[in-house]
Amino acid sequence: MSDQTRSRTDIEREQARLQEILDLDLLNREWSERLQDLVQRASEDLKLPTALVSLVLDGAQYFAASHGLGGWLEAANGTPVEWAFCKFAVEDKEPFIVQDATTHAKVKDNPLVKIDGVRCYLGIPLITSRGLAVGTLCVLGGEEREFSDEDKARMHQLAAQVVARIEARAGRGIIA
Amino acid sequence: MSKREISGYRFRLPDRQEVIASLSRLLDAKSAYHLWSQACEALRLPIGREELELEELQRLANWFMQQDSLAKLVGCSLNVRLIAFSQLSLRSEDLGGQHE
Repeated sequence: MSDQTRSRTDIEREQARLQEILDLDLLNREWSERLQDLVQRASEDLKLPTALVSLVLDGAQYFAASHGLGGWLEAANGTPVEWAFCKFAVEDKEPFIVQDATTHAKVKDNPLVKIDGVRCYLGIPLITSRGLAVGTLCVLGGEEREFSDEDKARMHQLAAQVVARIEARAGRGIIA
Repeated sequence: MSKREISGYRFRLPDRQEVIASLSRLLDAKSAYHLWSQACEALRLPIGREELELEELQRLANWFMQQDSLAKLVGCSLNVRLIAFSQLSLRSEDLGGQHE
């Protein structure tokens, strides 16, 4: 495959991913309430102050639902995409785990780490039945944290419930 | 450094070319320019001016968010970035001038 073809394929894949966000009506503010119990449960079960359903857009991550946000993050309801930990989970379609952000190669220079004090993160990609990763269910905190297998399993369960609920709303499945 | 930048966050307001580039990544270039022209006409903004004020960019973001296409996502992204910029500007001033 040539670079040009690969590039075109990448663009088409990204457009399909973003179209999925539109098709599922995920920018609708009602998702904040519809998913509130799941982000709250993620925060409580993982014993971390903040949990989010974050949609990774072209220029920003947008929080469809959140628990425990404050300050400018709550006001903006998102961040520029270049600061989004969640984009790594979405790009790789794999969990992105940060035990100590101050030493993690991908995020140690991130302003959210250097200025806002984010230290640990666990994000599970939200992959729809069409195989498209629209965002993550994630938890984050201000202290170093080693996530256990139980932590990861619990987040996977909750992320599956987020996807099921989203797809049910679009008439693709059964309400979780 | 201009007031369009927040140094601590290495973050600045987008200019015209950057907004059109965002549209072009999701639409084709011709559609992106067409949409930009439509938005400027609807909002009575100069089509060719590079640097738009925060308030003008916010009106553009809201206009894009009304569209029934991937441009809606550009509007949402732009809106998040502008609110973040506005909030971080205030905070930088509170902290003593990272933002000048």
